[in-house]
Amino acid sequence: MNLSDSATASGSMDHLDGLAQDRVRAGEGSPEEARHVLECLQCKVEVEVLRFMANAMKDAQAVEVPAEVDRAILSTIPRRRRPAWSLLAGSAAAILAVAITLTFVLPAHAVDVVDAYALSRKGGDATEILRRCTAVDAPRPRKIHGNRFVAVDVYVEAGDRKLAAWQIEINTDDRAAIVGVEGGAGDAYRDPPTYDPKALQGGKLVLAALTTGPAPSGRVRVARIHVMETEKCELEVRLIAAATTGGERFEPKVKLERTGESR
Amino acid sequence: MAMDSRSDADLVAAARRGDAASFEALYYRHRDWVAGLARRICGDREEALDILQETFAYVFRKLPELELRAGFRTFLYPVVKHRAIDRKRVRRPPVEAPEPEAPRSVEGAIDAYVSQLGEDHAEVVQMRFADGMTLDEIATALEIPLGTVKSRLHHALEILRRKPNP
Repeated sequence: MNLSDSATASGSMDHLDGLAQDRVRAGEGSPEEARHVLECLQCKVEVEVLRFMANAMKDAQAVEVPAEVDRAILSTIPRRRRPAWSLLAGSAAAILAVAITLTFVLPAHAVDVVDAYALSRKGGDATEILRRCTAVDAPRPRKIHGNRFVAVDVYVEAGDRKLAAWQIEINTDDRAAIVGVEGGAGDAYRDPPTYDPKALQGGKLVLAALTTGPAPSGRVRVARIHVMETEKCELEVRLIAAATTGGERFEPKVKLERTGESR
Repeated sequence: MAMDSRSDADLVAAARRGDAASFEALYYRHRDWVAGLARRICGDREEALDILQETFAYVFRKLPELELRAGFRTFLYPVVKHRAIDRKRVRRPPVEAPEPEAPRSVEGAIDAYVSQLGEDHAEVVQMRFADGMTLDEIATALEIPLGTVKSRLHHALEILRRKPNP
């Protein structure tokens, strides 16, 4: 058996040798070798066995790296603080650098969903940033003995911009408590947004979500919340941050709409 | 998710100029591979995560003088390997050695296959299969001739051919 690169399907050889089969498996084979594998059942089976082995070996050594390990490693890199104007520069790289700086250097309240989005676009895990930016300090459950439950839709009016990330805060008056959160409409925001579970049963909730896939524009229903109230309460919503698919910050309008009520 | 499309060499060059985002991109590109390789060699997940941390701390320290002449993984491989071997060496052996069992899972079949190869041959086949490295990269990382890599891989594949499929 020839160990050199010249082992091919041509000439007097009936089958490829192991090295040639492995080249085909790895996508490095010559056109002749690849064609031979397509036409020769034995070689095809043997290439599939190699492929199976390779995939199984990859899977066997896989290690899931926790986000805190990423942070510990990346926090050791000295970072230059960027001036505030770079946030508006529109460059994904600038936004990412700021996002990373905010993530690792500044206190929790400084990070928001746009930083999480920038990290996600880079392939990073934004879970921790989302958790931090939606955390509600010392949430106080309310003792509401209401008999009214109302569903309230949350809308972001993005206009002609693509809504890639959004973060809002919702507050109720003393007559109500927010008791549930659901996702919105459309593929991008169908899943429930990130929120602090400890904030449920209270009067203040921060919601955030992002998508690195196709982002919707126009009037987007991003979430639905459920409110328990003693009588019709006042609900307030304010935008904390939003970003377009380019990572640029913008300020769309946010609205709440009561959709249903039950007793 | 959108990934940085620049080559490893470009990212290293940018990181050397102080661009933290480029170092970040390098880290995420090779993180899982480094952790997996470390685990494979040292056999312990927690230690693999420590090695991951040490490896990138080393890379960062080396950045000022780092010029990639081959793939980034050929540079990383010996760094991870030596750290993992050191860890394995100092770790105490288990109190009771488990009874050898007939392989019943895919993982068991792979272990059985790899265990019949010599250490050098097993390393090459794992670098090729699990790490997805080219033969040239393996030769560079191990600092051995390309012909030796081919010979070892050929031998390992012949043994695989003689065994029943996993």
